[in-house]
Amino acid sequence: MVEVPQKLVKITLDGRELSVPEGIYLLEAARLAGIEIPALCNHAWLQPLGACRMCLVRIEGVDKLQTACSTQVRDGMVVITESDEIKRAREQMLEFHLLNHPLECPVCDKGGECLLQDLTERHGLFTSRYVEEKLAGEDSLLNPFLRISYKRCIMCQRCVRYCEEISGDHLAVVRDRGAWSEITASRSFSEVPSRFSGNLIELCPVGAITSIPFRFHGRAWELTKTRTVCNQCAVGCNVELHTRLGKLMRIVPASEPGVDAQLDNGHLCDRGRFAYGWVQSSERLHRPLIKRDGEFAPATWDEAEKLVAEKLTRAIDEYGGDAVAVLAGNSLTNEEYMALRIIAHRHVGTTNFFLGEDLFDISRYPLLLLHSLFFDSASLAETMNGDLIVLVGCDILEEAPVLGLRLEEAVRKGTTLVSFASYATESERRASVRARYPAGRFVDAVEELIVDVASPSNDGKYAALARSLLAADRVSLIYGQELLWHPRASEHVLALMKLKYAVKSKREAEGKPMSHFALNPIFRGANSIGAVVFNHLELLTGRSEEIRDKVRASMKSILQKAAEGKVKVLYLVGINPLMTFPDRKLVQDAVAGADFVVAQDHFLHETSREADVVLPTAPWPFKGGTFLNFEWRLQKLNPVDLVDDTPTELELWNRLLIAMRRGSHSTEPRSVFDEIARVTPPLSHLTYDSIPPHGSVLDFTLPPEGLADIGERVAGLRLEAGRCEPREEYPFVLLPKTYLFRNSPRLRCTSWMEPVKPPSWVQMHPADSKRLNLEEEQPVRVESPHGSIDLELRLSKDITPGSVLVNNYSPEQPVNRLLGVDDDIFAVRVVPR
Amino acid sequence: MRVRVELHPALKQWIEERFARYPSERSLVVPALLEAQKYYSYVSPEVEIGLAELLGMPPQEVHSVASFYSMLHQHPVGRHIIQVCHNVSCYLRGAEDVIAHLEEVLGIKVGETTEDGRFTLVTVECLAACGQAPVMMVDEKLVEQVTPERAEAALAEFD
Amino acid sequence: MLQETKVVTELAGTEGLRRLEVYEAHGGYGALRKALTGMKPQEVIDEVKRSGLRGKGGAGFPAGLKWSFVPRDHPGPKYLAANADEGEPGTFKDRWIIEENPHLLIEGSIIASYAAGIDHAYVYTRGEFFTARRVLLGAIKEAYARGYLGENILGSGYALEMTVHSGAGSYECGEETALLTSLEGGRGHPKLKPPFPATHGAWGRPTVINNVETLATVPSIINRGADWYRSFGTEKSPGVKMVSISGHVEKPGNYEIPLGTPVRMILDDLGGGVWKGRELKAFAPGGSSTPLLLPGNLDTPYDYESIAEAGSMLGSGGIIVFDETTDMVRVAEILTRFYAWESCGKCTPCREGTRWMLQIYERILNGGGRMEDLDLLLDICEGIDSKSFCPFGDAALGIVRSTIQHFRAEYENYIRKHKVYKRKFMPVRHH
Repeated sequence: MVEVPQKLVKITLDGRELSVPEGIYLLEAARLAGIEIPALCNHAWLQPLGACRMCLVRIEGVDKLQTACSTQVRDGMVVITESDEIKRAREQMLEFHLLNHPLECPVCDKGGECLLQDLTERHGLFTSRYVEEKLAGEDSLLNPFLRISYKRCIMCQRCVRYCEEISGDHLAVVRDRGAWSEITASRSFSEVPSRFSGNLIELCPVGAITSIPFRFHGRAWELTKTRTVCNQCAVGCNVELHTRLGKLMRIVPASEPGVDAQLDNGHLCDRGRFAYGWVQSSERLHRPLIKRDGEFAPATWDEAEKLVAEKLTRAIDEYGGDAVAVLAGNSLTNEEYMALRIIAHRHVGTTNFFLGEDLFDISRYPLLLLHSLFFDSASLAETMNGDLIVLVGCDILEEAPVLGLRLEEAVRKGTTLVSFASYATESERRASVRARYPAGRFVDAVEELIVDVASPSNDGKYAALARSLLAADRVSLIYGQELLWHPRASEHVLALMKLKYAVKSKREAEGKPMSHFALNPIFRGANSIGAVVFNHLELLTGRSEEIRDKVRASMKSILQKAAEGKVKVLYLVGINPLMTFPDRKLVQDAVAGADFVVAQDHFLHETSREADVVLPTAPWPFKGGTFLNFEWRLQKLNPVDLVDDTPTELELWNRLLIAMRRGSHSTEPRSVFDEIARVTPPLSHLTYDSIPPHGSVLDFTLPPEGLADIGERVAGLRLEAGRCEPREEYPFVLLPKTYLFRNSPRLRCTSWMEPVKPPSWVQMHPADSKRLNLEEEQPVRVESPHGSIDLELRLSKDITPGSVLVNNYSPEQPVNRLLGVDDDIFAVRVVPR
Repeated sequence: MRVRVELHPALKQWIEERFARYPSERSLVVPALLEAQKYYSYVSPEVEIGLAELLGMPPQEVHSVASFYSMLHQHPVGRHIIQVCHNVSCYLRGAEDVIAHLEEVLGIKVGETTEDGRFTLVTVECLAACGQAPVMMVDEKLVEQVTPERAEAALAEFD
Repeated sequence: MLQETKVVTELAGTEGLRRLEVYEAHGGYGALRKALTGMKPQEVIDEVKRSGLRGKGGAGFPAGLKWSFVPRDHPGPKYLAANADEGEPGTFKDRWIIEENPHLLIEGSIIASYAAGIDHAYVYTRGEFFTARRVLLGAIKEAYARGYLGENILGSGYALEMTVHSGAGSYECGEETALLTSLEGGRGHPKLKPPFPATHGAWGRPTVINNVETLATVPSIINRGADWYRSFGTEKSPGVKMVSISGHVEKPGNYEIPLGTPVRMILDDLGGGVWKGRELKAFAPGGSSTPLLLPGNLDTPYDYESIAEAGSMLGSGGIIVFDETTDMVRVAEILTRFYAWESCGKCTPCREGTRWMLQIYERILNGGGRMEDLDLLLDICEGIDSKSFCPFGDAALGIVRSTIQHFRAEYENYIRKHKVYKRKFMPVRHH
């Protein structure tokens, strides 16, 4: 979609002459002129409906009043928005709206943030002439998060339209007719939990749709509102944390729809919105735990810090810094990563340190890989304004839901979307081309695609996809978890780079050089990008020999060392590798092989349970710091104005350093950020306080010696696809799937998230099940050379024959029991139980 | 949990024969729902799911559409539906007496079904037969110029 | 003594008229032949424009003009929807046309489609029209077999498909855009205009919607010419109209008259006058949505302009006659219930206002009326007036306003005396 300069037209609004963009609606034109025409059914996200009739205005030359929301401006239009006639009309419309509406503001959660209240106050009458019986109805549930009160509904149909036009899940529909119309969820039909239902809460202009977790927890005006950034995925939606009485009461979007359209445009996914109960959960740890005789006992901070400091000091003194290994998760802040890096390098002196959980092994071609990660990505704006979006191995609606919505918004405005995946997902619903690669053989498939790019007219297997790529001038290729949560992730990324340069050179050869071809990985963490940066800070400082020659630790190498007994202290920060690393046995051996394991986390989860000491730190609402999202947008977290009884990471590490007598480190995110800015050229113009809301998309230029010949180098790559054929005894390729509502500890400890937990199924194509004589819902065992898990079989035509799909985060049946980090392909068999 | 519904084969065929006549399969939902009532008597969740799968619509959308139209029943009805017009032109020519008589003779009130499941009695809006008012329909059959007695007699042929 | 002017009803009563060979034997499909082999599409439009033919479903929009709005060079299919969703109380001419002379509708539809460049014609019949659908399907089958439908009709190169579609019980689906929404497989909600159906209709493509009677008139205009058609009627309301007379008359039924005929003649000479020797109290000239007229209006010519000047609308041509014994409050209640139960529910004033008015009527008829209810009813009408999304809202106001205006005493009687209407049955919403 190309941005075209807008043509302006002249209209007269309440006597004032205005120039406004052609084609916009009168309601919007009025807003630009500072005139607020009342409207209930209109919303920035949605197509105009014209149903509430609140926005009626008088247009000269037209006999009836017209709805401003649905009338487009035309040159010379003369409009009146205030007159006796219009005033009377508004009163009448409000009277109709309030007819059936119960007078229960005192007990309605929407009070204080209710559009109907606001409009009535401004435009309505204050007495009711209605003496008849109101249509009543029992409240009901729309889904586990939303309550619906039919009495309060004014049939603006915003919710129905959102579920049809935007989220596409048809969660809310209208049933019956006329005044007896009701919004219903037809719950009995619902199979897949809605991902965006929470947005209906803000969308509903009255208290008909309200949040169940938040119900009766506070009045809008009593809440303290803190603007910060969500930490649940790579998007980093801007949120407001609402607190009261020392507790986090709810999370709502911070962006105004249509106005702050840079990133989330006011949407949140249900995970980001609702998965907060764990902050107040009794299962969240507040005191350190020390294991004695195999049992955890609570300890004081003094005791715990002393113990950890002792163990660390002894390990360093007796065995050297490398005897300490540090693994950090993917949702820490940049400041925490920087601090860890500094502490690891300067204070502890270890090279066995790895941040984030992704891209486990970049030892081959580190320059190329890092180059792509750092410099190939596009901002969301560039992506939405591009011609083509390519989704590769990415169920975007599960992995970064709000990004998925924004991509679909771009498609509605003219951008083409194509998909390259190994099985069908809902994320392909707006794709004009859906190409399939065989599961587990992505690299081979890309080579074939590259051949088709070279000769697109030769009706090859991927001809349609090739043609789409070649037809576009500005491409954004977005790749996801299927490619990244995989031991051969590096190969996958290199293959994508090869593809990129093949397309670019083909276009150049035809005299049509491309404007850009971006590659954006969607990692799992809120700050996976930050982790990559701080693992490889040297790339940004431009010393490429350092990059090339450096001996790098990876998560795999560290775990292997620990398993071999070479790690004396294994220090884990905000990470649960027993669940999240694709080789459960290796992690078990690592945890067992390390002499002393420290786990820093909020919960006793699978991994921290195996530690010797558990140190709880403050949850993210209590922290400041910065994140980098998928588009390298640097955003700032603001902590709530509450004190938790746990330290932040920075505070804890400082205390440990002091206890170890190895210096100290700043505890203020602000000063750490300034240090980061000092050493990182792209950030040098920013200070912590100057980071604006919605942050700032960092613009990287290539480092001085940046690989000018990168295209050639990539083109010449010979990628080792490895043994990509499943073995005979293990004939299925296993696809571990990242679900939005995966049952991580945060969701487990948020009681109302229980109903949306992904089920423990293994999904297979009906043709395969027929061959194996297996039936729908049959209990089966999924086995690999590494282990087995027990699940229920489900049949689905969305799955490609020869592969099976399993939830990759099921505490009861952990899929990583089946996986090995040296596997080229995840191969399994499915047998009856 | 996936629910798979196999619609009555004759209904399925009726629908599939008509796909080619519309640019979108969804267009068949209203005629198909009306036709489905010949096989299923009312629009049950089963019917809605079966049609949803056949027409490529979400089941809740089928439900939303079905519940809009008054000829589509959301609850089980008797084997035969008696629909008596209660609108103005039929009222002017004695529809009320017809309805009252049917209530008496069948032993039910408007909106109800006889205990033996034979008839459901409803009143409806103008059937576009006002020249022969009062009128009623029993299933697909229009009965014109009804008097209380004639209305009662018209029911005889319906088991 | 007024005689009918038989244009659409010309062949009524002919034995076997539903069969194509009988229809042909009486000149049927001659107009089609003339149009397709002797006239260009634009010429057909011009002729129909000249004839002044106005839509006969209620809006009275010039048919030829409507066809001319369809962009001829638009790529992709274009559609005709024949509106057979006849639901206006008091109107029963369209069902009659389909069941009596289905080929007339078919022929007229093909000519109209040819003129406007249509590829596929849908006849949207209301759900209740089981017999009409059966008859029409049989006639369409014959027409296909004879080559009047399908590819290369009469060797002209023009092709047209025709499909019978069914509603399932919704008055609102008779509204143009609501009909399209229903045809597309949705709830019968009207659509925003602009864009207009002529450029952006069914499935987003150019669509013409015409009433059955309008289409059924087309063959005779082609056969005998615009001038002939204009020889009937008045300057601004040329031609003929079918009227459906119902209610308190001796001979209710469908009749065809030149527009401009005085109402008195229509009611007396054709309708047989008020029944049982009674006096006329009031009549609705064009269906339940039209304001009532009184005995003093009997000399009004029955044409669009004169009826409008008298304070009502010609509408669909359904004349409902009320004799002196009629309980006008009860009549208003019946019709208000109709509008409340048929409201699609999309827009607030119609959805809430009609139900409110119904509740007030029920209370009045139940002995609980208050004097202020009359002004309240009028106020609610004013709140709906011209502010609803589609004409349905305004349609609901006619009976309320005109009965209060002309029969206030009956209302006051109910209110002052706490009179209770003795219901013979309880109306129940069936859903």
